[in-house]
Amino acid sequence: MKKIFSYSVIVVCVLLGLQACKPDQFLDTPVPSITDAIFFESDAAALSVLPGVYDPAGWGNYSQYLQWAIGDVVSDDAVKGGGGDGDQPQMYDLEHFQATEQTAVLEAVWSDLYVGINRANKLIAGITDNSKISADVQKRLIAESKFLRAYYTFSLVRIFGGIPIVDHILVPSEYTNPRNTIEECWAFIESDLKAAMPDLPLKSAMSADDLGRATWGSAAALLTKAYIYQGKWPEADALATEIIGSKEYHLQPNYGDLFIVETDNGMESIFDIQRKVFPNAPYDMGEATYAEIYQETRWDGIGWGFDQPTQDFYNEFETGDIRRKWTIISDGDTLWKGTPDEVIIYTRQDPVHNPDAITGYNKRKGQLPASKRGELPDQSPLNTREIRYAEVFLWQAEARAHTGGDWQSPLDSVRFRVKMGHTPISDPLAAVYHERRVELGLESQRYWDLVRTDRGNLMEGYTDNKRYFPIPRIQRDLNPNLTKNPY
Amino acid sequence: MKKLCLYLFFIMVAPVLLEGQTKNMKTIEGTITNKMTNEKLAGVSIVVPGSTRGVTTNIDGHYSIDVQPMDSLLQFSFIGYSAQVIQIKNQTKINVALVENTTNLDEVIVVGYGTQKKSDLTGSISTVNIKELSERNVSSVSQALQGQVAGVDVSSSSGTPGAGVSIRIRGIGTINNSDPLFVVDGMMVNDIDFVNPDDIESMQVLKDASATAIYGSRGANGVIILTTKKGSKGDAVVNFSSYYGIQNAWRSSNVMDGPTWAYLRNEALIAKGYAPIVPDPSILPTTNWFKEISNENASISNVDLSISGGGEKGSYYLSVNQFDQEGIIKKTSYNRLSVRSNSTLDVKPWLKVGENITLLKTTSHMPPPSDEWTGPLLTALVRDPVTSVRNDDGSFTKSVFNDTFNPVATIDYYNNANITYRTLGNVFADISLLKGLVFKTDYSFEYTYSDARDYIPVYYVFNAQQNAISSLNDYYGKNYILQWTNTLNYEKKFGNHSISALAGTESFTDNYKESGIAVSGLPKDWDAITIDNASGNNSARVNGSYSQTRQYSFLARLNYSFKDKYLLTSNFRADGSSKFLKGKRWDYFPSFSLGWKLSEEPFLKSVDIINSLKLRAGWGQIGNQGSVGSYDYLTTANSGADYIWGGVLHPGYSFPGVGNPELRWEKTTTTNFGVDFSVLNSKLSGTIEYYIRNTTGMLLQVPTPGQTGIQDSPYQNAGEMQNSGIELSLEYRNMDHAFTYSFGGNFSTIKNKVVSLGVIQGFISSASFANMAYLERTYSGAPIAQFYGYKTDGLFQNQAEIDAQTAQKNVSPGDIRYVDADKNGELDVVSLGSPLPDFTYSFNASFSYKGFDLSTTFQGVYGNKLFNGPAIYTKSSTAAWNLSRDMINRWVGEGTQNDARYPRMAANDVNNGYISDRFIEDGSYFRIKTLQLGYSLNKDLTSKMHLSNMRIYLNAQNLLTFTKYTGLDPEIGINGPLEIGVDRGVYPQGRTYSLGLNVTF
Repeated sequence: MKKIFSYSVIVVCVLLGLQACKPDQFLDTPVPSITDAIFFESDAAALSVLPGVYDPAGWGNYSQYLQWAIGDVVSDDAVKGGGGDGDQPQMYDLEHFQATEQTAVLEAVWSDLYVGINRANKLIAGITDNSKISADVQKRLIAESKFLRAYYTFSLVRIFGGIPIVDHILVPSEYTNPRNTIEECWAFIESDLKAAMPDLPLKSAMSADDLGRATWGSAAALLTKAYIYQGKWPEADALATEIIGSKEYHLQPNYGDLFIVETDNGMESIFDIQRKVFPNAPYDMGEATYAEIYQETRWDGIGWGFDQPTQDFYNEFETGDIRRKWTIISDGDTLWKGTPDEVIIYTRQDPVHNPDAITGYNKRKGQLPASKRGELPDQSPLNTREIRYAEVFLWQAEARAHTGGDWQSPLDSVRFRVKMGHTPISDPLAAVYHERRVELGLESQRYWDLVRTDRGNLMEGYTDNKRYFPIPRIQRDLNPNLTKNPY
Repeated sequence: MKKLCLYLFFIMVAPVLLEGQTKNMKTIEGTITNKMTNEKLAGVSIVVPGSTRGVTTNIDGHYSIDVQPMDSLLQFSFIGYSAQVIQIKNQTKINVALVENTTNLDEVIVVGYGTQKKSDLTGSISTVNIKELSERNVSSVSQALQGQVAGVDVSSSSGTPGAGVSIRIRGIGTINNSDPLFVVDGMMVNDIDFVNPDDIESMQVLKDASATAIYGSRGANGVIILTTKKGSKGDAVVNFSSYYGIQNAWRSSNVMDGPTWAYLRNEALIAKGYAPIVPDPSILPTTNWFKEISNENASISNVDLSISGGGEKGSYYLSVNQFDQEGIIKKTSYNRLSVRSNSTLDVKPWLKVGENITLLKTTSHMPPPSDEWTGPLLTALVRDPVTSVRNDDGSFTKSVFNDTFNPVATIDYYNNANITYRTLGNVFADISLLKGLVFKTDYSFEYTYSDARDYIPVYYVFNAQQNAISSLNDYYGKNYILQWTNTLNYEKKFGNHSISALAGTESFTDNYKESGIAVSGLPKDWDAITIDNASGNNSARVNGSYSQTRQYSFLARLNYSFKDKYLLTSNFRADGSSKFLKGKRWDYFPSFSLGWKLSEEPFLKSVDIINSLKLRAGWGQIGNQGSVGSYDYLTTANSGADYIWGGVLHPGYSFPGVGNPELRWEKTTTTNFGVDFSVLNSKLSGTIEYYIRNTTGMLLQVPTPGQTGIQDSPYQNAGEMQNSGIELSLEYRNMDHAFTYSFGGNFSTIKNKVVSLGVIQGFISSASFANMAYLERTYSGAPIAQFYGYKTDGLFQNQAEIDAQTAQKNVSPGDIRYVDADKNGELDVVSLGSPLPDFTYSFNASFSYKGFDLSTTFQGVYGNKLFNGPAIYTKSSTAAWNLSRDMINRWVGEGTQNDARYPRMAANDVNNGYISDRFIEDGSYFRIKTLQLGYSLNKDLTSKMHLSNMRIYLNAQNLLTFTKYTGLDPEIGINGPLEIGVDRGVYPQGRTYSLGLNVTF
């Protein structure tokens, strides 16, 4: 017995001892992820965070959907279309000015754009005054982050009005900050863009490998746009003039070449959201856009037929203006003539093929021939043209129409490309407004052009309280300090 | 010795066995009988108190045990009988007649890291009646728990075969993970469904802190202890059981037929000045989409074979089980094949070793995801009933009325298979060091390998429902869990005092690794769908992750009883977790409980009517780390935040979450009072308990406002919550006559209150629905996750009523009026009730006469609210989707209807679709869970057939359900910590009829 006991005691002590020796060491488990504390240790690491800051700009809810749903469909340029009233009911509600706090896409866009802002702030915080990051990289990446932060904020402000400004990584006590005034938001956008401009490269100085990243011109153009939205005409004129003077950009000689894959980041591109289709990338969208399939005619059984141009918009084009056929598909139009992709499109109501067609028109801009689309019909590789050079002339013209400067020359620059000669409209503002409508038709501009120039009444059902859309209920639930919009 | 050779597991220790015949031992043998019937009892356990040595009687009631000279006592115990302790003295033959004890108070039950006499318990522990369980034809152990124990709420999250079941002990202890811990033969696991219900010997539910404290943080939400069947000494016992049944949805969809829907759709269109869809709806056909996706008379079957037995030095148990279930929705099924083996071996008088091993393979085919947009269960309700399933050419139809997916096509094109292989087991050794002092070491492991496969073919239904590239996703997960527990147990009795003490350590490691491969461009032939046949296999997309969690604990317990009347239990546990930052890892959790056996006092001993009466009180603290991830104290980078420049994809990183270095243990303090009684010759017994559970430092994953840009909300220790409740269990049995019967019932109330939300201002929003709104809010001072939305106030009957208010614009007569209580011109979001029930209850009854037996179980919940998600569509005024049949009651003119549930039909309406009390329904239900009629062949007949027992039975499950809820099923479970009672188109429960057979020989 004694022997057994002493053996046992030894065994027990060994077992207990083995297990109990260093519990704290036992609990030190390896961390298989990279923490933010050690992340920003090299230029390469900093650069690997940059794609994530651009990333939300390409996401589905805003640049592939809401931007045109508001910019075109809510405006008088287009109607919703699609498969009847019940198809995309949210877009129907937006179009008919009956959006509510529960309109889901508003909530999705709010969240997505703030993810972009947060990612910009995270990169800025990670590299600012970080001795492991070279000065050049710090400068350029901070400038790009500020440009994107301004872009996201701008996008939010024109949908919702004043929003909470977020210029740093928030701590919990700041999570429920209230909305800033719209003036404060504009000031923030301006200051970010002014800070970004000097540290961003000129497009001409950029290697082909970097094409698509923000440039001095991107920031300057967005700032001009912000001036225009605020009615700061002299500032807008000066900056537009500076952009034109920089000779960084050129109009694409053929208007019809503006919305083809070959002119992605082309001579007229000031800021493109980058799209690309990768082979064998089913399921998720990858880096493509589904705006095209939304807007493709339903007649082919593939497209969804949204964003149908109105007759009123069709009539806006002057006789002989080729921009109409590059903007609107009419019934029986032949596209990509003479190529293997040649196709005749029927856009009119047809009980068998196109029972839902409403206006009898479809959108032309952005439609790609079959050979240029991705393997999946809902994936389009065409960059989203956010800002193109022609608009700089139109800003210059609009600003000068207000300040009394030479508004005709910039308009001519735009018109001469499409061989249209001087504008027949004598009223400067009316001429600019007309030119914007046709030059930038169905490029997600019209709604904001109308409301910022007090012409909202051109839209049926619009009243001034509808200018900004409802703050999503989900966000007001999470942050009771957010006030409602008087929608 | 021959039999021992069977134990391949112990080849290593064979040499030890050979010299295992220790001198000085003497053998005691005898026969155990039932005192009333003189029936010989098999399976009675005979142990030397204070040691781990023990045997059980064979089928003839005979036992034989070797004792040492110093052993003076033998304890005889058997479930359902009063245990007896007999002095050995010089006897070599001890025959015992055991007395049946209908209250089971002297039953020995398994408590954490040991056993205890039920009558000595001071904590709150309930025992599940296994006999009834084995007759209930349950497909899983968690299902077996349903309606069995007061305070244990089991709800199926759906009727999907093999679907998870949520088990809540005493309500929601925390906003976090509230799943209880399962302990199977000493092995701690997080799920229980790998156990074949037929293998269970006993099941105990530990409810209060003093009972669970020994398990520390892992037992924070209660512990369910399972002991599986073991072999007993004697001839091998072979048991065969099998059943076969058919299942159908207990309720079909309650949506309209084609003509009725079209009539209302016309009405909606005309109301807004549009043209009707068809001039004459009455000629339209009807498609019953729910029926089209249903698999009618789905089969369910179970075959189970077990062999058990034992020799002089050990026992064995071996079982094989095959369970197959087809789903009541097409292309869903679940199949389980398991093999279980355990054995114990008395290697030396001072050493006992044993093991449990389970090998398991499950295969399931799941339905497409059930969401509120395109899920087939939802679209089967909402797709218009006019469109047929297929076109004339056999292809699937597009609806010309809306863009709702064709649910039959969704299911047809969805191919999912999940295969899981699991090996679970433990090996243990008990070493008697001194009289009363035992060292026990237990090493357990769990290895799970899972392979989930999704294949999507090329298909085209219509514009919105199409896929142009076939794809295959293969996910592999590997989970490896190791746990090592070492304890020292000491028992001692002197005079009126008896002490038992335990101390030990425990380490736990959980490794998880997963990887996924997605390829596209696959051949059409099903068998050829493999990764290497993909045309795009050189551009496969891959993902993977790895995590490790560890925990280390010290544990101790002291049981003390004085005169066998006054009882004390005290626990202490220290837990350290790798999920927290160094310095926050460790916390300490004590508990105490007291018991007083009032019926042993002289003044009650003479009261005949009272057989036993015990008062209990306990207090204890436990830690919980909830569902905190392995590295949530850190802000970590995620890949996949990619963007393109220069025409090239630049892979990028982002930081979607925010680490919280302050994270620490959440703590739950429970105070428990209980009374156990048994009266009227022990025919009536019961337990009444009252408890208060306070959770502080609650680990909350609070949704962060969008403006933070945070994608994964961080955990925080914030807030405090209280649960209190009364639990009542009663049982009445009468076994005196040939006709025997018993009734049992459980009743529990749970009062939940969030005491504070700590740093969180205002409230927590949760359960977002279709991005429209959060359905639930949690405020301090109120119960968790209450429904919030607009409150309806009837319907506008005329323009004058509309003009009398300012809050609602663009409304017409027949639209819903919402409450603007403060008349500020804005509608008020107010509380619309709680998804938590006021009380839950269950009943069971069984009768037997001669060979016949009849038993039934009812179960119900009362007072909870449910959000009927599909009703957002099926009760929409727009009639764009198919309508719930009750919408025929819609408003059609002034005075025709004023119930806000039935507004007018109007295309493109938004007013009537707001989240409001219109979609919140009474979720109370009462369900006849099982009804079973059995017949056992009499002994004369069975013995002629060389059988010891044979029983056949008919069983019905979910026979009848009574509820006012208009959705498919009111039993929808708890989907997430802050999402309770939200129906997003649930897979309904099946009603099953089956025929079964049990044979023992």
